[in-house]
Amino acid sequence: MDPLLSEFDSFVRTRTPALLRSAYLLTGDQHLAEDLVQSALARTHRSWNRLHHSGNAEAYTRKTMYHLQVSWWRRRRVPESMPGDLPEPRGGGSAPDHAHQTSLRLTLRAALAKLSPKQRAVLVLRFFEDRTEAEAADLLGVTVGTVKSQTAKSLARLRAVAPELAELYVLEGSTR
Amino acid sequence: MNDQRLRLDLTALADEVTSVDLRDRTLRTSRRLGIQRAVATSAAALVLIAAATGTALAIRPNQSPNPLPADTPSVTASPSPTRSPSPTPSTSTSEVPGAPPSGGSSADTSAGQFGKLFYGPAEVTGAETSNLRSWRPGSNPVRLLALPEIAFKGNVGVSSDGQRVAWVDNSNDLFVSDADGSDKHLLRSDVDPYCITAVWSPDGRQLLFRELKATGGSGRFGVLDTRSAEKTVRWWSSEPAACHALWSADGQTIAMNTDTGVTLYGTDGTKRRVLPGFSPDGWRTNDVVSLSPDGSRIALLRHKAVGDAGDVARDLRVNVVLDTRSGKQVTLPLGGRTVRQVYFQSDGSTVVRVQAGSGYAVLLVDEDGKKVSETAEPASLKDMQILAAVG
Repeated sequence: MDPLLSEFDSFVRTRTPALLRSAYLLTGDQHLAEDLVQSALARTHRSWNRLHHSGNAEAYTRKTMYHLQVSWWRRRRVPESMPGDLPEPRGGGSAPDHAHQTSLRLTLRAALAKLSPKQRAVLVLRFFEDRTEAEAADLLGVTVGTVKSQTAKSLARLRAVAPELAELYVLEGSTR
Repeated sequence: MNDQRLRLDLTALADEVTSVDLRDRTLRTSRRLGIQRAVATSAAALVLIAAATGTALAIRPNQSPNPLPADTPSVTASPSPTRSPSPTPSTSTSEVPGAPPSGGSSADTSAGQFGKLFYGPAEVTGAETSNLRSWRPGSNPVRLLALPEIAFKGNVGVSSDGQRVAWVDNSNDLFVSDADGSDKHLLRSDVDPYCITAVWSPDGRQLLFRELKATGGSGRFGVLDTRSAEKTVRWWSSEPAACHALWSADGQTIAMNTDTGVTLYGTDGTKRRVLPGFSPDGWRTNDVVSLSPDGSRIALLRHKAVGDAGDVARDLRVNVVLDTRSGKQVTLPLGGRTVRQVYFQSDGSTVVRVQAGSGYAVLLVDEDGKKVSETAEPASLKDMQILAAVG
């Protein structure tokens, strides 16, 4: 096999799970997440000659993924909803905890669906991927100021659309 | 809100996704992208060959089914990237051949002072590509080349003479072609498709762009000489944290969105001044649309801090024209209607698009701010937005 292709295969298979997790939070849907990651990986493949020795292939793929998702259109003009079918929750645990966690995910998932793609992206970058404001700005192609304002708005929006979630976070946070 | 709790919940939510092997699908998509690029390149080559044999109009590929506009020059017989005028095709130029101009409710006969307006879809269409259109009040709309949606959404630019179009595609490749799709060239790869749009210099020779770094971040600003054999680039020595550039018709000023407002730069990236009136807690703008020929006025979408900070992609709606020195609002003769878009023309006049019934009308406003004429847009442009006003 072509060594370059072999390298790319390895990259795809090792990094897809992590990319899919972010993509799932961005899209809220298994199939949309797969499509998004696949599209980003395909563009990485087109540039693999340049990227494979740079060590930046994943950064490039993530940047492409965020651009494809966030900027694909000015989404705020387009009615948008996350698909309604929830996959079966995973993991075990006691029944009450399981129900509680499932309920929490449902609520958070519904709340995320009410954010704009950019607001979701900022939250995913800052609170799921633990990116700094500068890193998030670089990935989204916006200024740090925009990331700051978008983060604040995203959190405010999250509190507004899911007050029960905000209360839960505040309550649990205050006991720590 | 407890940030740590949010982190944990996002992690739990991400656990719902099922990991799958995307290797084969990825390679198929990559091949499709490669084929699309190869077809585009081959199509451009075919046009040149056909033009050399005098049959360009008969077999020009990648064409819309509609005829070419009369004022769009066809390609030359030379394989050189430079172009020269050639006889215009004798075919009809309108979307409805033989039909009278639609929307022809011009208030007077001075509609000829309008430049040519270029349009693209205003909303997501679901199609992979859409056609650029042009319309000059008093005539019929003309369908031009097909472009990927990312170009309409984020970066397509029309040269000041309306002849050349530049855009960045989904693979971050910067292309240029004639407005009818002929003479297409790949100018450069790894170009940022969102932050800095492909901005033409007033002489239609250079393009301001921003490179995409290997890490995926936005890199240097460059001014590419589209007519040089080597496609030489003059790199700026600075990298302003700025997006969405406009280049004034006098060639002296570049305006860009910075932080919450607008900053004016020289053509080498030297910062000149900040447009007053914007602040994190007051007025903001994330989208600039048109800059007057001398850089003294700017049309943009302004909003309060509580509003949406905007997407990475540009928004070409306009709700205000501002004096770039004082920050004061410039009054437009709207007749009580809502302004939707504004474009400054190189002769100092302004094209103002307003809501008119279920569609739109365009006003021609002179340098003194007086309305010269008004024309209703054809209904076929109702779902489109103006991308440029040239000529």
